Amino acid sequence: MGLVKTFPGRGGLLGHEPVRALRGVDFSIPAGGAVSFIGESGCGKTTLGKILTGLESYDGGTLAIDGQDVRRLPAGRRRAAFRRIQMVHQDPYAALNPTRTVAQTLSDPLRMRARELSRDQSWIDGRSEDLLRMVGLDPGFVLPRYPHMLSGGQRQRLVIARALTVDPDMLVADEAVSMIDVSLRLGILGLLRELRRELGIALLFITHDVATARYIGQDGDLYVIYRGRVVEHGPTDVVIERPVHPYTQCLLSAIPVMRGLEDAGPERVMPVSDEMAEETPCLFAPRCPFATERCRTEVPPLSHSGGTPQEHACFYPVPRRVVPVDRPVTQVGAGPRG
Amino acid sequence: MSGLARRLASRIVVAVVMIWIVASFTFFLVRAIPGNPVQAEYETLVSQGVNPAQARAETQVIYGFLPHQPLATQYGHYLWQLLHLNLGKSISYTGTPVSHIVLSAAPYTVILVLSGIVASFAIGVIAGVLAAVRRSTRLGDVLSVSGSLLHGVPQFVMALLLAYLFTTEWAIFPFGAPYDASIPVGFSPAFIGSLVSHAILPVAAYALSSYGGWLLTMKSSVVSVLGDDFVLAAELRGIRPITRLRYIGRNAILPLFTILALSIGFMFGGSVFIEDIFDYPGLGQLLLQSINRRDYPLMSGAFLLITVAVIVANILADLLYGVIDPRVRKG
Repeated sequence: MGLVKTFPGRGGLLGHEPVRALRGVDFSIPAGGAVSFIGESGCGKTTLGKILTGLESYDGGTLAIDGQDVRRLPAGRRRAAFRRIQMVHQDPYAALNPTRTVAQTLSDPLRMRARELSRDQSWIDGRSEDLLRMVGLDPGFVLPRYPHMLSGGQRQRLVIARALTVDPDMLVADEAVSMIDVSLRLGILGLLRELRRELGIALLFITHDVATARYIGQDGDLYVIYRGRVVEHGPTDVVIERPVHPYTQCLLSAIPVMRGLEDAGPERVMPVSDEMAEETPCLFAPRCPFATERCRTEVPPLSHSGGTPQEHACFYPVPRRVVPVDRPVTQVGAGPRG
Repeated sequence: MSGLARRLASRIVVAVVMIWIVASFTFFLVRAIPGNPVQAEYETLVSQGVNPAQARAETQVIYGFLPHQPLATQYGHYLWQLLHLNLGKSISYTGTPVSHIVLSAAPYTVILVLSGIVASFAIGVIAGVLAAVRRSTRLGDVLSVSGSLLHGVPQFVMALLLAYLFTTEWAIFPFGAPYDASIPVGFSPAFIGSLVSHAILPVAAYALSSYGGWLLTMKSSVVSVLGDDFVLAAELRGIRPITRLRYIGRNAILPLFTILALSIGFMFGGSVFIEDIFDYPGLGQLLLQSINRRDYPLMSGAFLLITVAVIVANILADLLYGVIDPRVRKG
């Protein structure tokens, strides 16, 4: 059974309904692999990242790290297991302690690590410099500085270096580039890809941006989440090129088209309403242009039905081409070559 | 380091200007008070049969300025005397230099105010961290409510309550005077013990009335830092809770230093009530006495000293803030 998380509602006059953030999300991340979660805001993807790093509890399902159910581990070993999963936060400024220099920021976790490996201070200093070089920062420049003296891109690189101090096996990147200048995003994404290739660190990439998910997880899996449930899952390129679930299709249809260079996907799908509150068996049914009576009476299971290469939770899987497609070169504008 | 020196220099220039403004204000205020105390003193002396020239000379000695010169000359003379720390002579303590009276009262107030601030700040901040970390438990609720309640009690009510409860109802602590007159003054344990036991109630009045403010401010500050990503990140890396609490405390306490600087002035203001209620011979009581006796030189002297103390405290807090918050250090 997949992970379940419900945030309790509050009773009383101003009370609110419980929020069902996760309704049984099943997934696995292979060692050194790359997995992306995409979905609109509020779909539960951040909650998922927090559960994976041990910052949030869950109400149902099993979370296993290295095949071991973390709930069955004694507290000390559970903490050690969760420490192998580190997080790269969305806001690189809030993620750094403003009162500590870069050197101090790195030395606290490294000192802990040095104790475990019985190394001395010189190892800590050397390791700080290695980590900074690894993420593309100049140790001589950044070590004595405070976070507010660094740029957004440098800060995010520092956040990644800090995550690496405890030698993690996996990084959870929750919207890790959405607050970085567009011009610097590619650098950070490239760095994450490089860490994966060279250190074998698995990546869990949580985003609402299809392009970054595609860049990071080209050889990995993509999970599309809608209101706390996986609606489609498969190899990243397959899901993006030939999505079968109408929600995925709506999500991908919303990608902006670069005019002149691309054409809109020929079979774009738009949701028929923005209604979210209704609890129908297929949660997407109220907004789905293809929904039938069956979607309102029966829960569609996650399956390969219809012979699709990816798993999906739809009774009527039809692959549609919805992402923008490159325009043939001969058609580019009315320029000199035209 | 040169940055700090430059910062200090600019602060001192500002402080000197502020002290000059306050001194000028005091000078003109005494002049503007209806009945002109200088003239009144002169006329009193004349009516007592002193000849006008001698009366003028005596008035000048008392007030430290010259009653029949043009205002500008008087003002210049006053500032010149001030530069030599000559604040004139007291009327009620006939002939005693004001600077002498004021300086002998100052240590009591400084001790009261400083220990009151340190005690309330330390207890309030620690209780505030506890109240924030345990905010969903009974302990957190009790602490917060205690903060709100104490914050709502005015300083003089708190002082009266303490004085009534602990010197009259249960005579645990002595009342009035800064120490027991029967014990010889000196560095003996008996004398210091007596000094402490006499100071406990006024200090407690200070501390209890400002504790609530520190607690509530620190609590909200800690709560806002608690949710910051860098705290979560520290938790992820397995940093020990005590170290995490240090990270949180260091960041949460920053805004409180500004309030600390402001509260020093507030505390000096409060000394008027507290010292009066406990009959404690500090600056506050001196100020009140000088007002009652229309002792203008003493009044302006006490006023000036309190102002200087507040300005100096603000400079210290400002410099300290630069040391504590690296973001302020440059620029």
